[in-house]
Amino acid sequence: MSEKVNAAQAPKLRKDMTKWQWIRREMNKNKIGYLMVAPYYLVFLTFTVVPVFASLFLSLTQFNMLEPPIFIGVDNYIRLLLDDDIFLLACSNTLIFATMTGPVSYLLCLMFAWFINELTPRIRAVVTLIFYAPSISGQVYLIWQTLFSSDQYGWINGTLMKLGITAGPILWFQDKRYIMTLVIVVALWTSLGTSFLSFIAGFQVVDKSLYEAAAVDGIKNRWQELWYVTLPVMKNQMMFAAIMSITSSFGFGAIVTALCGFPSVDYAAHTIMHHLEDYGGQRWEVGYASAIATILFAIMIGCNLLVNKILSKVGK
Amino acid sequence: MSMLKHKNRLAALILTAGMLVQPLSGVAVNAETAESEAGKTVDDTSYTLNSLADMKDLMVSINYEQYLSEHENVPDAKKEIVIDVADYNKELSKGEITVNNNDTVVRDGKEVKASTVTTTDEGRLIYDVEIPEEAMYSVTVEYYPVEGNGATIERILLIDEKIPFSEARYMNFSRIWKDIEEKGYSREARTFKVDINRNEMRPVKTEAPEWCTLTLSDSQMFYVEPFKFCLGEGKHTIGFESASEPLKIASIKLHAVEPIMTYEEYLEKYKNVPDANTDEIVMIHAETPLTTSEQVIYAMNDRTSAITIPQATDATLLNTIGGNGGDKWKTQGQWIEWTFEVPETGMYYIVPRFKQTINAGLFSSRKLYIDGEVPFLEANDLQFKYSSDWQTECLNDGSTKFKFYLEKGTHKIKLEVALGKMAEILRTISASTDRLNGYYRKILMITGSDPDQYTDYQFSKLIPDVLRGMREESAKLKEVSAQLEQTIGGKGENTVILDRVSYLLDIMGKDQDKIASSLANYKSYIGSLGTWLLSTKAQPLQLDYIVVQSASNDKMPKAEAGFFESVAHEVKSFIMSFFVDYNSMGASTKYDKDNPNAIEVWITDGRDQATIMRQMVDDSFTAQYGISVNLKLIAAGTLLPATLAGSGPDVSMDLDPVGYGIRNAVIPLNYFENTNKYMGEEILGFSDVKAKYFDNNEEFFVPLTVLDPDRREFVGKEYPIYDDDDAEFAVVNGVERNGVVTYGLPSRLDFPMLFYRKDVFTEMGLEVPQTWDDVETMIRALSEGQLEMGFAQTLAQIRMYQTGEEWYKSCYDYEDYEGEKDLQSREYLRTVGIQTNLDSNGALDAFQRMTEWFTLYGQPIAYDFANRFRTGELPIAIQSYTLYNQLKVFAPEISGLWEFVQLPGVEQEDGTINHNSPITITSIMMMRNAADDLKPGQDVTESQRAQNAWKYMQWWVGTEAQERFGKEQVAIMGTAAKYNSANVEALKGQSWTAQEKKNLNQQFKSLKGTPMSPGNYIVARYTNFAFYKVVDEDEVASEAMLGYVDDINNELTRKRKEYGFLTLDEYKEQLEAKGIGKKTDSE
Repeated sequence: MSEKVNAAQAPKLRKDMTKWQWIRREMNKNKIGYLMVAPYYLVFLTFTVVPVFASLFLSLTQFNMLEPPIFIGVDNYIRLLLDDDIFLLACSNTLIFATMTGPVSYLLCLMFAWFINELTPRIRAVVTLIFYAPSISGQVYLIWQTLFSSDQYGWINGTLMKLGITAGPILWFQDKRYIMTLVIVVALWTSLGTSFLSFIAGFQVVDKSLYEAAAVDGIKNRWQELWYVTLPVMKNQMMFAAIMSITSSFGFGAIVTALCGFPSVDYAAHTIMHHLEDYGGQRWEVGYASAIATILFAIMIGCNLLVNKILSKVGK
Repeated sequence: MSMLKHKNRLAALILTAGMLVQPLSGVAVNAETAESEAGKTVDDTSYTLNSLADMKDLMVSINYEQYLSEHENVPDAKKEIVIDVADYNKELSKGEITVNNNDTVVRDGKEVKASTVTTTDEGRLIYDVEIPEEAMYSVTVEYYPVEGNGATIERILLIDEKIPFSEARYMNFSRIWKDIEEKGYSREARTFKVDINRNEMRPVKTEAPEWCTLTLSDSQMFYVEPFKFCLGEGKHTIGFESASEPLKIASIKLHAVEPIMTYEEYLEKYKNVPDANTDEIVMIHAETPLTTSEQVIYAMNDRTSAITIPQATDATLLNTIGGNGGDKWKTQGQWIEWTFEVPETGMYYIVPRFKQTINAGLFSSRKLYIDGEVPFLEANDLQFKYSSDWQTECLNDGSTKFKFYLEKGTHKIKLEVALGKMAEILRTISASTDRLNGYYRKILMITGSDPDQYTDYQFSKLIPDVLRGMREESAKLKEVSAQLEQTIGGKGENTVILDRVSYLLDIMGKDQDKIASSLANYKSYIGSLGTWLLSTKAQPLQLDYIVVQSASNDKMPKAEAGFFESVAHEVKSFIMSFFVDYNSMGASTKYDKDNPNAIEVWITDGRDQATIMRQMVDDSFTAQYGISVNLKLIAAGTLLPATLAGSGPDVSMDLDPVGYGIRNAVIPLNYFENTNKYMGEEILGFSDVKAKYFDNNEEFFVPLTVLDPDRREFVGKEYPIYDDDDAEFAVVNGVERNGVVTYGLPSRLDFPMLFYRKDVFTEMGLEVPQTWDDVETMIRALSEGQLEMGFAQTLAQIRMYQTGEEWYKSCYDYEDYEGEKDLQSREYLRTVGIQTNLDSNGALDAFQRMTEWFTLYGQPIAYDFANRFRTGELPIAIQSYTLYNQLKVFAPEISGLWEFVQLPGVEQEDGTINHNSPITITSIMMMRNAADDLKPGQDVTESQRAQNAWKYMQWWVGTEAQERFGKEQVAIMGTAAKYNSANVEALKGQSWTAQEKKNLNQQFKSLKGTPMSPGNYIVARYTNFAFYKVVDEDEVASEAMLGYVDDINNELTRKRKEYGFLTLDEYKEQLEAKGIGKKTDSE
């Protein structure tokens, strides 16, 4: 009892303490704060951090989901990188998708947002809704399946045959030659989502007086205004949008499955996500699937770092 | 010029068809004689000829309206003619006919001795009659609905061995069903059987056959009056051909039907009878009827109103009957009968509390019988108006509230679904739709499904009758629309559709240049007309109760709860939803997890099926064996994580057992090889189950079995099954297991069959193809008429199986074999799954021929089967036979116009045709959890839980349970919910027609299972890729396939290694060691 009182009476300085003592003291001081973040962190740890590490561990094993995993070292990685043609195909498909739904869609979003920002508020609201609707309405991309139905009475097939352009129905989502293009179109259409919205928001926060100041400083045209004033101001929104679109571009799998079936014909639109699903879900090789996931994880982190680098160049 | 050409073509077609028929019928006759000579049960191979011939008859026959106008001037009969049923014409009658000369018949409530005659679901019963003078006769039959499979009893009326008009083809004799009286069941108190949570359980129905009389009339109720048949003076024959189910009859009477009095006359008759002098209000609870016409009509729960009697928020009470779900009291001819007691003689009002929320703007019609008689003419058409709420109204015909004369005592009241005022309108439109469909096919045969609007097709020269017909239909529809407007009082959504079709027809009929461009519209309009017809014909009605009160009492019972009452009810329901245990819905015993005498079973079916299963488990399985079962309805995909976590079930239904089996999550059934006595009970062994319920048909077990004697780690260490290091002949309980491990018992079975449209085939003079060569000829004929055939993509597999190729390579591909090939032998089994057989010559040929249907013959790859089959542009298709259900529901307008038959086959060297069809099996398996009470050193069979699980499994696949499940499913969801049981007896026990049963039976004889080896998913995947490569990119079939064979084999080998199965290299080593490798093998 008396010891505690003494400790409280004599205020200690950081340099008087060991690191752990200090940490304990700080934690004690901020315990309300810790208490408040605890629920989230517990959930986050259990459902995000632990699985990531579990997956890292499983990627070193052979695991069929029903029997205990067998440790096999880096065999999965060796097989994945050196002896899996389909993985390479999936990588290339993923990169194409990622480029299209990542940077391309990102720039498109930026452009659209910029144009829309120039409109009057009422029209802006309507146009925003039109652009944003595809990505909020869940499975709305399934209308593409109706449009491009393989049946001769499908909308596009029917129209093309009526106009005499094609003689018979085309199996849009089962024909290697069309799958990729179609899926990319659908992907672009649905990807004008979160990033688009955050850009719109970003444009709203730019202080108008900055433009006046810039004009005084000698900005010549709208492009310069965009590059030197608008974009640097909304860097946070851009970062957020970039991360969102990268993550989603790599995770782009469900739409392909819904449209082309699983797997797509001749793996024409097979992405890393599909490869993962194939091994994890269909072949029950969770070890191997974890290895795929780990690599996908690494690629995503790499991309985020890259984007960070690029964004830091904005306005310079 | 082109007319002439067309005629020539037609003549050629008829000629070819004729030529086709001849050899075919020859074959059929030969086959028949050969078989009957051999003394086997005669299986009618000429079935297609039979049913097609019937179809021809039917298609040339006129409808009743035309029939009546043809015999307009014939007077009604004056004399009554009674036919002695025992004295049938023995020459013309066919099939099994049983005569009982001293049977008991109930006539007018009294038992009489009389002769009766019983017919089965096949054959004909024909009588000679002598007609004194030409007249119109109605036919009244005294019949007894003999218990059968519970389907509707259908007969075809034949006069002079012909169907007089098309409606006479469907004569329905209704059955009588009543609720099985549970303990203490009575019609007054709430005594339905309840589960542990006090939810009332659906009453089980049983047949309560009685002697009935039926005056033949339209089963669709399009004609309110009974049929009249014209019989000229002299000798005639009259009789019935069986369409389904057995039937016993005691008399047939030809007579003129007396007209029923009108309501005016009725009132006149009882004008001296005062309104009943009583304040008593007799209440009939609708949910407890005396009898119903079908077992699907049973008590239902209603939660929508607070004052439905009775109502509860904490339990499900069966408080109403009828409603819109399923086929419950909304199809013409379905009836419900109640009984009630009246305190005083007098005039009464009959007031039902009802709900009709479906036919917006229209009404539901019912025909009323009191004590078996329609009291007056207007009671043929009682109307129940549309409203979103419950209503209480006196029985009325839309304008007059009826009073009824009731004597003191017990009465019966029966309400039958009718069409009433809508009958004529619907009849006209129904006939129109049929004709419009015919026109569509005729136009299609000229233009193809994709007409060019700029081509001059010269319709007015080629099909002038169609153009004229369209103009006539247009006028007719306009007329009907006006009539409908009058009936329902104003234009509405119901008349709009008619006006639109009429307008389009007018344009197309008047201007032939518009036909090509409007054809797509035309087609979709016929479709919507059909849909409208269907929904308008349905007459749903839900009843809570019927009140009988004195005609002096004008006060109606309250129809809906007041505002506060409703709010209280909703709030209470909401609160109770937190406490009600939905999981144990229907359970009659509590499940105790630690009780070794209780098992947990998981199913992934629908809720309805789960409820049936629950009830079956309780009153059959648990009652019989005393094992309590926790039945859980789970989402698909839950089993895997649950098994991984060790909290899975003991028995799982409807999943792929081999996938789980090779990962040691399933207990092989081979453990239970021996019949054993366990806990004083005789339990069948695995082989016995196989023999008893599956006729020892190995094909059914092929997809559930892994075949490999050399797999070392057979089953995890927990289950010591062999002490021997040499696993080839591991011995379990004295049973030799030569490497064959079966992981499940088949519960459902699916396979493709050939669906075809009888009417289109008759119209075009085609025969149903027996071989693939026939298919080729047929497709040529079809494409003349711009029609197509639908193929399934399992075609290559079908052909491989029909030519005797296997899906995987067998040992014969590696070893030089001498002597007989014994397909059941161990040597054969051990190689299954090592390599795919898709690169064999036979397989490549099969694959090529399959792709040719799409490339060379241009048949559609992707098509909407149900829709195109319905319009008839795809009159033949290979599809899973379970689509039967879909077609029955989706396209009732073509019911009777199509059937499924066995697949076309490949002619073998000995002249027989192989019709093999590949099967898909769904099964029931025992999870390893079931043996978790095992102690070290014990065998699986010593686990009590495992034994119980095994008992459950064999109970479930048993004929009794399967048959009951099928019947109950039909009872709940209607005849279109047939259950595709893998148990042949149970499948046949369902309500198929004789012809359907015959067709199914034929295909059942040639089914083939595909082995499930590790990595099997890859075969289907790459076959699919190869297929699209051919059809999309015009690649040569064999090359496309061969390009994938290595990939397939690599994956198979990899998977086999992973699970410790014998691989090709190991196998070859073994062969070399034994010196029996194939010398010719270049690899």
